[in-house]
Amino acid sequence: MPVRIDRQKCDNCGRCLERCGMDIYVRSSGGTVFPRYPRKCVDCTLCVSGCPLHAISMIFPHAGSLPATSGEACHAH
Amino acid sequence: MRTDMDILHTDVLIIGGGAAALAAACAAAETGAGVLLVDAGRPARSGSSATAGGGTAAAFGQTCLGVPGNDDTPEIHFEDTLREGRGINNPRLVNLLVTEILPLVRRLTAAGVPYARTEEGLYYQNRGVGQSRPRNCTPRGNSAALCEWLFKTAAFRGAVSLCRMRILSLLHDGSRVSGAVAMRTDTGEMLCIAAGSVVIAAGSATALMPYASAAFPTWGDAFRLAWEAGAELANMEFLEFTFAPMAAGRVFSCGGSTQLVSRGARFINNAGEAFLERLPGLGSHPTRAALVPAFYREIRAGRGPIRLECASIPAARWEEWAAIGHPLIELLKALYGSGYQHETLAFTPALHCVLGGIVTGEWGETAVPGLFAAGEAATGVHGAARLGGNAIAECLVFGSRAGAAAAAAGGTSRAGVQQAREALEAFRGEESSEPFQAHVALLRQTAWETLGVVRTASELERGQRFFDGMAALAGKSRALSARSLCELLNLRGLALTAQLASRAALERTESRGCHLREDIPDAASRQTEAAWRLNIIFARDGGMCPRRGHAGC
Ligand SMILES: Cc1cc2nc3c(=O)[nH]c(=O)nc-3n(C[C@H](O)[C@H](O)[C@H](O)COP(=O)(O)OP(=O)(O)OC[C@H]3O[C@@H](n4cnc5c(N)ncnc54)[C@H](O)[C@@H]3O)c2cc1C
Ligand code: SF4
Ligand code: SF4
Repeated sequence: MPVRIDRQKCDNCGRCLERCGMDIYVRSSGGTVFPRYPRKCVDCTLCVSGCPLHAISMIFPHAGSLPATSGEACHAH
Repeated sequence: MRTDMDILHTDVLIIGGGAAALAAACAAAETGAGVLLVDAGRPARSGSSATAGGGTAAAFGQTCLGVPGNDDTPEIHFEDTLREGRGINNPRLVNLLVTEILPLVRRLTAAGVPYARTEEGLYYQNRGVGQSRPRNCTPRGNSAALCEWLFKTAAFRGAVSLCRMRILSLLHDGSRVSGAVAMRTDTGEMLCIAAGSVVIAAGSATALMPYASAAFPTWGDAFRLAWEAGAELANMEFLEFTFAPMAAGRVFSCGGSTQLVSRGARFINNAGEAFLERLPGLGSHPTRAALVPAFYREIRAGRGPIRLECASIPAARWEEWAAIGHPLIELLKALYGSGYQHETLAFTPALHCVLGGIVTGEWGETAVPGLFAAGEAATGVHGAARLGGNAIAECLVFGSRAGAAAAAAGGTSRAGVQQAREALEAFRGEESSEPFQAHVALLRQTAWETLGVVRTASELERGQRFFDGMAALAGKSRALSARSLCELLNLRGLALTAQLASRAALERTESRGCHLREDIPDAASRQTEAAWRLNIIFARDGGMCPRRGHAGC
């Protein structure tokens, strides 16, 4: 899941919901804002930088375990 | 899916929801015209504009990192742009860009766009890639903040917008463009729009390559719509590349990567060598057109991946970027947490902008009456390579111009639902068994291999044959569901873009700007330099055969 809201910090202001171009976030009937469709996330980080309470984090595998993928970009030649 | 169709009437239809479309909507609505903005995504949250840095080139010559002022002028901005564009730009458009952007940025600032300024109110200007003077004004919150402001302003002035609506086809009444057919991308609901005039501000085709810097891709719809309506397209061989962060097998959207080099950042190869330092002639402020091939060739020589050493970035830069909310910082924090300044991050060459596009005049007008274009959809400002900050400036200046001109053009539309139904026959029909998505993936891979950072005639020819085949297949395919119609549109837009780009790249037997022909010796390119200061132009009546000339002049 690429985005996560820290419930301790979030005050459900809805800014992330407004900001996300992919409509990942929804507000539940109880008023809680949460990422409902995380698989559609395009990793643009707009919600992260827009959250006034720094409550959103993006989740990746730890960098140490990242594959060295950028070499692939030229493999065709 | 519903088969009946509603019709909406408007004076001006604006296609897109990025900086160019929003600037056009603000300007058109200011005249009192009825404005309908239709975006395939969410306005201000789609296209390249959503995740762009927002650096806006405007030659105020004001402050840079505490250094007071410089001698920048619109004349120097003009010269810089023509030098980088290498004889391919339309000087009249460049002149408008460099002069009109100054009052526009001032006006936007006065109205509330948060362009970063010093306490005394001077613009904080940083040196965008290729600029001879620090010239970029950057909004706090980047381009997203600028677009958000434009969107609210357009709405305040009465512009109506529809989101998640994709324009499938333009309508024509024999003498002028009269509207369009749109589809809701989730439900497949169709809508006929009758419009006095139409502005295409639907971006370019950043999805053409599997590696691209834009988080929200565009699929060549702008080019296809204009082409089918009979407009001219030019400069399609000039695809601009950058390098973009890559992690967990994905490319991340991040503007300003090439600028990092002149900011003291070190990129190292797999042997830990700062390879750019060994290259002759790069200078302290290398251009994108010089940097990206160097980067690419290093990887091709087996010395990739290339990584950014975060520790090489001076503390003052981190503070500066933190202040404007540089996307790189968010990405690094997400990857590494607070200790990111001591990590490294892999980068890959990636498609950034398409510099070719719809040929327009000073007011965004095209060869087709009633049809206007602006932003990355259009061509003429940048030429063979683009200076940092000139694209957002272009969107603001020419978006505003096209919006105002489209409103002034008036025109009564006679478009009706019956005409829209007929137009739909080119798309909708018995679902074909073709796997559109797989075709798109193959097309993008082939585009990367044949139209990528470096090119050769044999590879371009291979690509062209493949793209022609794909275009023919997409042309005769039909789809029914909203999802497969979208995939079919993606395939058609990208195939047309690739067909035109590969032909133009074959035609231009030299290297210039971001068009790099490895099969043509540099000495040969130097000899023919003056002769090639012209545009390669496609017109519908010429079919796929390009002509050489001066576009828009
Ligand atoms: C990561 C990144 C950073 C950048 N940073 C800078 C920078 O700092 N300074 C600078 O000058 N330039 C920068 N650029 C380039 C610049 O951002 C773009 O050239 C510019 O934003 C293009 O704006 P646009 O409005 O023309 O198109 P886009 O922003 O691409 O918008 C296209 C719009 O059209 C819509 N659309 C497409 N097809 C259809 C259809 N069929 N029907 C309805 N709507 C449709 C899309 O949904 C989208 O809203 C950057 C580019 C990238 C990718
Ligand atoms: S923007 Fe932040 S605080 Fe507001 S709802 Fe989203 S996560 Fe919560
Ligand atoms: S990163 Fe972008 S797409 Fe993903 S949830 Fe945040 S705003 Fe939406």
